[in-house]
Amino acid sequence: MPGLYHTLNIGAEALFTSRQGVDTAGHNIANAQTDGYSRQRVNAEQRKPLEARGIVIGNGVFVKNITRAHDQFLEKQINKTNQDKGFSDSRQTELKALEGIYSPELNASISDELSGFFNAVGELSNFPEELTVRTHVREAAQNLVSAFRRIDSSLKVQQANINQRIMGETDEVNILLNQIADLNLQISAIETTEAADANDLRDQQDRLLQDLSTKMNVNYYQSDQGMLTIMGPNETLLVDKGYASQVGVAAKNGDSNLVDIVSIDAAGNTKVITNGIENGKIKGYLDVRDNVVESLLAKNNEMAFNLKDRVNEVHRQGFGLKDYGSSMGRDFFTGSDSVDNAAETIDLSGIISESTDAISIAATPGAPGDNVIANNLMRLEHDKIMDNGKASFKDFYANYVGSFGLDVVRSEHIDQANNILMGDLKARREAVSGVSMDEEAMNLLKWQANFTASSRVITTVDEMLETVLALKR
Amino acid sequence: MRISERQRYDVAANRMNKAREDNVGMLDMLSTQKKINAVSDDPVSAARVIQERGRLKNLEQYQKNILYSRGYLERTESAISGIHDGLIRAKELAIAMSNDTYDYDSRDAAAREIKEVIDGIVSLGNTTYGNRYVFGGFRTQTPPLSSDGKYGGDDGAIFLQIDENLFRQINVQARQLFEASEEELQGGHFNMVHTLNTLFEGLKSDDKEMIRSSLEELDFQMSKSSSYQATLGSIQNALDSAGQRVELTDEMSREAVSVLEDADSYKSISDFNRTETVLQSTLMASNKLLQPSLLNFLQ
Repeated sequence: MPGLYHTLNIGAEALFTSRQGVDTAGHNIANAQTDGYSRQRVNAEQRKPLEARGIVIGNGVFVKNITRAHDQFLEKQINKTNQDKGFSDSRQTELKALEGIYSPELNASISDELSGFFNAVGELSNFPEELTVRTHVREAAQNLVSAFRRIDSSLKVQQANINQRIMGETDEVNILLNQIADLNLQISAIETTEAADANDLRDQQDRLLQDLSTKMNVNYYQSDQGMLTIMGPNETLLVDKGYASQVGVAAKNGDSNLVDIVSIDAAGNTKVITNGIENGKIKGYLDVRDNVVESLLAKNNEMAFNLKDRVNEVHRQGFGLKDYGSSMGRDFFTGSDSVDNAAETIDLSGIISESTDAISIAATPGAPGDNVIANNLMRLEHDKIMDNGKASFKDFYANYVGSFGLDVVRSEHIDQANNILMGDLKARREAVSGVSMDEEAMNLLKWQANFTASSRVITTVDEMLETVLALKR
Repeated sequence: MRISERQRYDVAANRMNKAREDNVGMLDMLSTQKKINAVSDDPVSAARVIQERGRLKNLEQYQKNILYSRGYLERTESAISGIHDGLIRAKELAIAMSNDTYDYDSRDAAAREIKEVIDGIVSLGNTTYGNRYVFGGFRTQTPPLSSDGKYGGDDGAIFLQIDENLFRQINVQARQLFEASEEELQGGHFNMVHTLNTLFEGLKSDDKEMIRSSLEELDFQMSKSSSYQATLGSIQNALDSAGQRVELTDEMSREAVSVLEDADSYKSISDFNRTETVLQSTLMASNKLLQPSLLNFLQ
């Protein structure tokens, strides 16, 4: 049969519960700006009632547990969108960096240098005998060659930068994997009883998982004890309970400067997973490095190669001036015989660098005023040489720069769309899990009032006890 | 929907960011006066701008070529009309001197004048434009006409580009003018200077028959020089019309580039002001919005 101490106990428990309410409100307020924090709430429950003398007596309150406001399906969606956003983000950033190389503000674009070169040849056609004009042609050609090489090297520098970033990302992935595995153990240690929820650790786990899914495509499921099992690209097991496998880099086949991504299992075996990476930041970097930059390099090489080839073909039919006036068959440009590194290797041929008299624009020997070959060279400017005879050099350049620009715009749009989607999802997450100051203020008021009232119960019992004790005097 | 504390700040931050981004973008456009500051601003237009700019550079060169060709042709033309005038003078003298009324002294004086005409024609035949002999074909660095009237040039035709895929010959192949062809020699004709020399000899030796025969030959030479003049005229006409066309294309290309990449300054100023207003009101609103929560009102 319950007595006064029972009542006192009810008061004490109510006091404890109220204090816990204020405590949790304080925790919520403290973490209002913490990234990935889910607001927590105190779940109070009545104690099991007592049955005495045929009546059921209420037995007070206790804190059943503290749970976090959290929607795991929303979390899944966020992680999926994070992958898309990571991909479009990194792709967009790198494309923007590449765009600078083709900025229309840059006056020394290939197109301008092409015009410069052909105009110089045109000038030479007017004044085939003039030394200064010949020097001008050589300088314009030098500028053109430099433009090809500059684009080639700028692209390669960007490619190397991206490669560095990929290596940096794999390091970060490893840190994340280790942290998640650690948390797995900590969470499972806490959540051995049903009442205990490792709310704050789970928040951390969610945040790490979000970071990880920004970087690459992962699948995961959560066990009852809150442990995450994560599968990465190519169904590679990345995290299992307390075990984290690692990712690393290895020199890519055929190109030692660039790296492939590999997974390293517990036994230290490596497996290339580059092709399995389908999404996330790393995929964005891989795509720009292996597809976009490669295709731009190829276009630049194609132009350099064809220009070198066609100019030489025409130039070889010409006679030079003075010492070179009776001989023909000289190349104007030199460079690799393979298209693959044409832009890197294109240069003025040695004999042209040596003497401008070697510039051969006469169709007949010993005729200083002959400009027939110069005119033939000028025709190359508008000849449809590129794209299987469908485009001139400048058309080709404008087309490929234009379509690259379109790619930039497209990725910008995709990135914006992902940002909006992400913003929306985050808003939804915040709506569920975010801390509202108004609400917490209400909670404070509520629990404070409760605390005051509960202490009243105790003082009342105290007075009653005094009364009881005063009975026997 | 619950609005959390973070959300209030995030929304404000996002809005301010967006407003500032727009504002900076407009400032960019305003200060460069260009709509296209990066390829991705408008890739299609950017590609066209690249092409049109290339074309403009070409057109500049074509205009230079046309200007040069004009000078070259004018020089050529004045030389040929000088030659023609010399032939006319020679013919006048020949007609007068074939008359019996003149005596030996007059013919001797006339002979001296013919000598001068010959020298004049030889020097006109070696006319230069810049440092090129205009009648030498491709042999522009050596005088094409020797003092005895032998032609030393070649038959090189100098073409200059005056429009995309349009090349025009700007020199005349002068061998025909100064030298009688094989056929003409058989038909009893002579080189230009040789004809004048015959007249000279005739006058010197007081041989009226010789003077008369050179008269007919002079007519033949004059017909040649006047046909050259006609050719030059037609080349010049072609140049003029090409020049007009190039100028027109140039104007059109400039306009196209301007339409594609130049910002409409009135519009960009008003756009800039609009973004400025948006930015300021966002800042103001955010300031008000971020202040209160229930906590501010609890005692």
